[in-house]
Amino acid sequence: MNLISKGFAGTLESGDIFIEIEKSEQPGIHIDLQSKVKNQYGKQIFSVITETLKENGITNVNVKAVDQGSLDCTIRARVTTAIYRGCGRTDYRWE
Amino acid sequence: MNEYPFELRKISLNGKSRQQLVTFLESFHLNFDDDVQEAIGIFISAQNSKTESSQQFGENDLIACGGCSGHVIKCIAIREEFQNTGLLSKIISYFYSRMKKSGIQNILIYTKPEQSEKFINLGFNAIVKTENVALLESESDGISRYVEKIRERLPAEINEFGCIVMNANPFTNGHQYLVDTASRQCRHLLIFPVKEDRSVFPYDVRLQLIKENIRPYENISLLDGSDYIISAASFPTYFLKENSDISRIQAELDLTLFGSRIAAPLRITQRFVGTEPYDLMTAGYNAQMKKILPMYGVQPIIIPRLEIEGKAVSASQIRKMLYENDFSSIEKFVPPATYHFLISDEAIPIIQKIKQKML
Repeated sequence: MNLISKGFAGTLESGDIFIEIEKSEQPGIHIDLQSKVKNQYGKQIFSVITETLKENGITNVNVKAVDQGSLDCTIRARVTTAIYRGCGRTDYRWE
Repeated sequence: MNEYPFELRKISLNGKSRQQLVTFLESFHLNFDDDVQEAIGIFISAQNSKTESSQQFGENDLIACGGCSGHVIKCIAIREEFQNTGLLSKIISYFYSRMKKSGIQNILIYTKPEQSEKFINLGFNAIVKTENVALLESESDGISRYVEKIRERLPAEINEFGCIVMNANPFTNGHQYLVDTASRQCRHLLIFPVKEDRSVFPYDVRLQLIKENIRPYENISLLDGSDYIISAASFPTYFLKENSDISRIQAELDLTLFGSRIAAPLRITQRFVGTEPYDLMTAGYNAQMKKILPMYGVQPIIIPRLEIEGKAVSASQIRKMLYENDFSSIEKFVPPATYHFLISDEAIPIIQKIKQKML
C-alpha cells in the first residue's frame, strides 16, 4: 500500500493508543513511542507496530505512537486504521 | 461517579452558553480566554435523569469543559466529583485528533502548574512551569529541537550573544535605532521575530522588512520565530492587549520560558528592549523582564526610544499615520526599505485592514 497523506487513528484514553503515520524520506520503519510502560512493554509495542506495517506492505514510514496501556489487538487495529486512512483506502477486507 | 452517563457536546461561544462556560470556569478560578475558538462540554446525559443516583446532578449539568485556540488547548476544567474518571483524556483526545487531522504537528496545553502531571501522563511534555501556569507540548523534543536548529546557525567561536525580540509591526526607525545601538553593545546580536500571525502586518512581511533593514550589519543573525517566544501560547494577552494580572502571569511564563529554555542553552546574556511610553502592557512586560531574566544570567538592557520631532517612534503610530494617509510623516519615521514597501501595491490590503480595524 502507498501512503499518500498522514494517517491518524486512536485516542489518548486509557487502554488506547494514538497512532500517527507518515511516509518517510529515509528508508525503513521509524517509530517514536511514548508510553508509561515503555520499560516493560516497549519492545512488544514496537514489534506489534512493525509487524502490522509489514503485513500491509508499508516499508518507509515514520510512526508516532502515544500509548495509554493498550493491548496488542488495540495496537494492531489502530495501526491498520491509520494505514488505510493514510492510503486513502476504504476497502478493508473484514475477516 | 461512573453511574452518570454523559455526553460530549460543542458549546456555542455566543450568548447564554458562553456565559455558562465563563461561570463554570470561574468556579475553578479559571479565566475564559477571549481567543478561544472552540469549546466543548461534557454534560450529564438525558437518559439518566430518571435514575435515583442522579439527584445530585441533573440532566444537562455541565461537569467538564475544554477549549482551544489554534494549536493550544486551554480552559480545561473538571468538577471535582468527576476527576480521575477519564473525562480529561476524552476532552484532550477530542482536540488532539482534530488538531492532528488539521495538520498541526505540535499541540500545546496551557494549564495550572499543579495539573501538569496529569497531562504528562497523557503523553505531553513540560516546556515550562511558573508559580501560576504551566505550558506543555505534544512533541517530545519540540523546544530542544528549535534551540538546536538555532545553535547550528550561530558562529561557533562566539560564546556570548545579545538578543532582541521584536514584532516589528512594521519595522520603524525606532527598531533601526534599537538594532543599531544593540549591535554595538554586543559581539553578536540575535533577532527573534514574533511569529504569531495576529498583527496587521503578516509574519512574512514583518520578517522581510527586518531582513532588508538589517542587511548592512555583519554581526546580526535573524532567526526563525517560534511558538516559544511571545506567542499565542506563551503570552496570549499580548495579542488581546489587556493590562491586568493575567498579562503579568503570562509575561512571567513567557520570560521564564525564554530564560530557562532558550537563553541559557544558547548563551544569550543580554536582551535589549526599547523604553515603552505608550503601551502599558508592553511596559509591564519590560518591568517583569528586569525581575526574571537576571535569574537566568540574562541582563535586560533598556534603550531609550528614538524620538523624532519630540515624539517617541513606535509602530503603532505608523499604523495610525497609515490610517490617516499621512505618508509624508511616515517617510520621516521609517527606514527606506519599510517606506518602499508601504507605498507598494503589496501594502494596499494591509492598509485597508488597518483602516477597517480603526473604524
